Amino acid sequence: MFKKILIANRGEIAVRVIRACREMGIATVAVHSDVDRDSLHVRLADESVCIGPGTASESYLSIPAIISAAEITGADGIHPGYGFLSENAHFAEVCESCGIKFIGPSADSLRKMGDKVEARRIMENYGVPVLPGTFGSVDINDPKLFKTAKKIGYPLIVKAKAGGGGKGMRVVHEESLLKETIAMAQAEAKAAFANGDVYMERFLESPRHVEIQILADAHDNVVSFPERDCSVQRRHQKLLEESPSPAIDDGLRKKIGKAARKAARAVKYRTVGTIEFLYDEKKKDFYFMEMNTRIQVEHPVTEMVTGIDLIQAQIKTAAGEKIGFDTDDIQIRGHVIECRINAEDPSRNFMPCPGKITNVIMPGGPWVRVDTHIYSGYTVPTFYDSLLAKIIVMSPDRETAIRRMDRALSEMWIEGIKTTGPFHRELLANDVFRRGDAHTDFIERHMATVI
Amino acid sequence: MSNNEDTSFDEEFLKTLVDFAKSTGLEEVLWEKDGRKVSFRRNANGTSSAPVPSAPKEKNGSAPAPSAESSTVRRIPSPMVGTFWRAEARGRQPLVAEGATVKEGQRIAVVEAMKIPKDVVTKVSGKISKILVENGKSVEYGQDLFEIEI
Repeated sequence: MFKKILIANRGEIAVRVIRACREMGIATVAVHSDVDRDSLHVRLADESVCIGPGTASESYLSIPAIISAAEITGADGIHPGYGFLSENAHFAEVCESCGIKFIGPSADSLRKMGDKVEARRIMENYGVPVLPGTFGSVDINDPKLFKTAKKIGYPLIVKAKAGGGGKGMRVVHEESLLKETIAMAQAEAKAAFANGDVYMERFLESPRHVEIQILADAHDNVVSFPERDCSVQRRHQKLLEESPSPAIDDGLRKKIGKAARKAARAVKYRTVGTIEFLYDEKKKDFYFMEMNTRIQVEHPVTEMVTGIDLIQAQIKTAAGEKIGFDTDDIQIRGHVIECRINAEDPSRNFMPCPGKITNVIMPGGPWVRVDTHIYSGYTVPTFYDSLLAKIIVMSPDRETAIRRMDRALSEMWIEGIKTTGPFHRELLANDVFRRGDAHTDFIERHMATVI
Repeated sequence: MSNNEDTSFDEEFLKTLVDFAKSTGLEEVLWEKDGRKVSFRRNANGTSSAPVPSAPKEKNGSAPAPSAESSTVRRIPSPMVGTFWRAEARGRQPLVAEGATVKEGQRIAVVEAMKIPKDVVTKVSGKISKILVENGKSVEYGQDLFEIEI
């Protein structure tokens, strides 16, 4: 077992990891930029090292700075959190070559799953359902083009191989528009990424985003957890997550769980990870979208609904221990909802609002969990993401969970900056959401008027 | 309990207090007993302990502290977390010694992390009045390394 873990992260996740280490009797080292000097994770760790200026590239993303801090403090493990270097294969390799254990999967797993097209190919080979699509670039003059497209099925989406962020992406609803749409997407891709290669994939109109948490050890054991439904998103950023999903029944749960475990085995995965699926509720089909090779922001949802500490499990499996339980041993104890509270102003297009928090009172009471790094007098810096706190509640069923979350949010008091707290209460009051009908287009379709 | 005892200047005691302040890093001490009062403030050097505090964690003095600087003393902080080297390579002579005159832009030390060296460059011209860290010791980003009298 580790003697000392350096947490290569900040904010609420750094606090989370420090808490797990405390409970396991492992010494902790916090690294921080100079603007994070007063941050909660620095106060809670046993030791702290200032590793650079506020700019992330010179601090939290600086491999030499982090390794240097690990060496001077004698840490034998590095927990990368989420974001930053958590999915950086090169960083994982550097840790290994310096004799420090990277608490996560192997560099090879990180590399394979980091290439989205490669990941698709691997999953296909292992029999994990993937969206019908091409595995290479599309040639507009290919005589087989229409046949290929028909096989994929309409509507389909033409996507840039080299990019993302919505650029070089175009949906085609009918065959007659295929060639011209491909040409447009290629031009857009070339302009945005200097690479005009595009591929085609079936387009799901309004799927659900359903993801499966997995845990794997070094003894070939893989377990999967009950799904998280993360369909409530805005511009591909999750706002609210819940478990179990209102749309998934026991049979489907078993099927998706099996597929997720297969996916983990396909890359010999270790420690924690999440397989993201798109779920077509009409056809009852689910498809592999991507794998997140790190602990995720929304991990508390699964911790609450199953009673299992995922961070401790992550550290234990990284240290070579066996998981100690099976997928069938995992219980769903109720219904859990998580709301991500950000320092953003919903009325101004969710503009980030850094600044000083003059006063904060967090909710409490039965089955209410708060994961946060903020405190009265804390100044939210401008350099990093806007996540302030995660409020997680559990209740015996979905209806009372919604009521409990609303109650908790009504108690939350953050003074000095604008937050998305009030927006979440509007979200919880929405009929479509309350019915359990929120898909990935929910915010655009049903919450636009609230903003 | 004679009057003499009460008003005598206890040098030993004062020394104990000062040593106590130094060893614990306290900057200001106010001691009061039976009407006797001693108070003093250390000329805080801004020296931080090694970046591995095991005692009650205090904010270490690595951030530049303008209030403790006099108008003629400037401090040069570390540009990186790593190991502080006074010479540019092993076996070579230190780049500067205490008392040396330096010019703005001059390289006065090196901080190394993972075999990657970063020059410590003085932003002012003057005389090296104090070297705050021992050769080969670990330093944090922003930790004060030199004091320069301008």
